[in-house]
Amino acid sequence: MRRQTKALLEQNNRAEKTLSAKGQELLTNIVVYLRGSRISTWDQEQVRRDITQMLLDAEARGEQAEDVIGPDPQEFCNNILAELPPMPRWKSTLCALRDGLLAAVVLGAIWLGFGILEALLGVGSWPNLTLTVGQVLSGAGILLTAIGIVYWICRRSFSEDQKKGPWIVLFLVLFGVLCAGFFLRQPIAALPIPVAICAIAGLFVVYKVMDSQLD
Amino acid sequence: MIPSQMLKGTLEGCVLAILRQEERYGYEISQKLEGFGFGRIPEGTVYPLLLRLEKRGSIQASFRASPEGPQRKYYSLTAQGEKELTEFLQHYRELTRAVDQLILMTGGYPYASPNESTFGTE
Repeated sequence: MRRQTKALLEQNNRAEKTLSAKGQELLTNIVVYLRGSRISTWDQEQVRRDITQMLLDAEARGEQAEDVIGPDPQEFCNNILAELPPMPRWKSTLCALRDGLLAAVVLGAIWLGFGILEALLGVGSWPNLTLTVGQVLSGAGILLTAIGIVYWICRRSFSEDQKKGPWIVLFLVLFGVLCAGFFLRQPIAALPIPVAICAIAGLFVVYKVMDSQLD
Repeated sequence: MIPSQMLKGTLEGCVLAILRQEERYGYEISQKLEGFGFGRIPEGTVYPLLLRLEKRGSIQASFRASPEGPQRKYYSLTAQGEKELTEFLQHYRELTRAVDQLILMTGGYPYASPNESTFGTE
């Protein structure tokens, strides 16, 4: 995230805290809905700043949020999104890649941690860490499930009904993915621990570079 | 109450006209519109329109602290906005002349006073 976007995000976080509890809840739903759109984070934060100011102003006048944004917050958000240019396809692809890289770094660090622990306990293949088919599949599965959960939450931020069906399906998919990770133990590669550490650190550096240029 | 479909084509021009006088913030604009007889138009309805005008370069925004505390986003007309307003006013005059002419030639306004029934024909 670029410096000016980060500064605006922090400024918005501070301003949001001065809203009433009801105002904060509504703003959170609006922001979550906007996060699921294809507009840039910079545009999202600018809109967030404007809406926060609108709500603060309304509260200072003793008005309700509905008096300002109307009875349907989702329609309000859709009207805003219709006026803002979506990110170009190449940029949104790079943003998705950056987010995927961060997730890969976290999963890689967990894998590395468990690998080192196994090595210390004498059950691993010291000084190498073995990457299995199951670990790759479960890593990809966890990543896709996480993307699906975020997309689901963003799209339904104004929804009142609490359907359990999708969550049960999601839980079963996640369970299957983790089972695959446990049972499919065919090795793909054996990496020396220093190489694995360098690879994960390298991915993190690439992520940081991309993050400083995007949004 | 003016139907929203009728408002759609003119609201942009009306907002530009309001900003012609002096810079204003969103709530003030919605209050002005209400004061001119447009009915209640929440700030949230005006905001996407202001975003569109700002992105297009017709208006520009600046932030100032308000007496109540929170910062406010004040909008003012740009040179491009002034040009667009002039065009809007010309087109709107043509439209009202044509519509008035049509209404008068086809029976006039119902429940109109004698003065109102000749409005726009001078």
